[in-house]
Amino acid sequence: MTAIFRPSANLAATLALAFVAALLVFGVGWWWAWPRVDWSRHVRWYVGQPVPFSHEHHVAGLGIDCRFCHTSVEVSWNAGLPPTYTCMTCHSQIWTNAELLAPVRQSLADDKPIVWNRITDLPDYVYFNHSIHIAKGVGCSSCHGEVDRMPLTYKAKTLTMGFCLDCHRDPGPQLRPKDQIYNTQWQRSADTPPPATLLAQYHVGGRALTDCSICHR
Amino acid sequence: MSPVSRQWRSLDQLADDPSFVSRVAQEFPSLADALAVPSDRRRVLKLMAAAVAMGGLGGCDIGEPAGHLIPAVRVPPNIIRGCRTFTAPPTS
Repeated sequence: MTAIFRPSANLAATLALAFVAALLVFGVGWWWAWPRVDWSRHVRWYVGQPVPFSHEHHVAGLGIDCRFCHTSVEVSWNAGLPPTYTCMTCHSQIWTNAELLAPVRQSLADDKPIVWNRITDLPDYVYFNHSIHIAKGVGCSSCHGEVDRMPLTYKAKTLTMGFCLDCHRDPGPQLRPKDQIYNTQWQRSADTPPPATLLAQYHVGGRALTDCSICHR
Repeated sequence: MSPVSRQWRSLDQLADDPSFVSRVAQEFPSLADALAVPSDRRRVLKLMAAAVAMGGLGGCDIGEPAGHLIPAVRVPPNIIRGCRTFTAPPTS
């Protein structure tokens, strides 16, 4: 009776088993790493924009306040993006012929909005309101990072549910005095009022901030 | 692979009534094409399973940055994005 398998079948079988094992290891590794790796949340990814707007230059260099452009951050859920008109309040006077700003001038001339690419996004099943966070002492940089150090804007924090809950479970240490909200370099220091004082000052703590319906409405 | 049994949606279709087929072709051209291809039970189940499985993928939204932000060129006065705009009722 002849052998069903040739000797080379041993090698093929070993390779097949090794492949299955490698696939298993890779699959488990992927499954484990995906929720834990910032890369998959697009943290620190640079996104191409029609105009390479530099927050570093405008905020740190020129000292423009966040609210000059993101005007509705104190009153609306939406911080707001500056209309072309806001850009042109200055750029109709300075850098009027800059090649980089051609899309901005074109936008005003044609009355067609500039289409920016999103940097941060929350899933549609999450309710997020900028104004309440500002009103209760959460600064911009708590979620958006040191925007004034960003030549091109990127997503600085993961903005996952875990990230939100870290603060919602214990908001005190994240709160800052009212005059430091828009300071992207702010760090808790020795002169910062203790968390309990800030919590009382902002009247935080009356509601269970981890209730599902706080964010999922 | 031969169909286990022919699938049909109405008695007219089962009888393969020419007037019915022409009416369908007139009303829903794509449905007439689909009727021309006999679909067996196995294929239907496969398509249904694929639809259910892929439907679940729609829930895989992890909030990745995607899409665009389109601010206005000029903001009309008294309009704040995300806030309701209240106007006085036209009473005198």
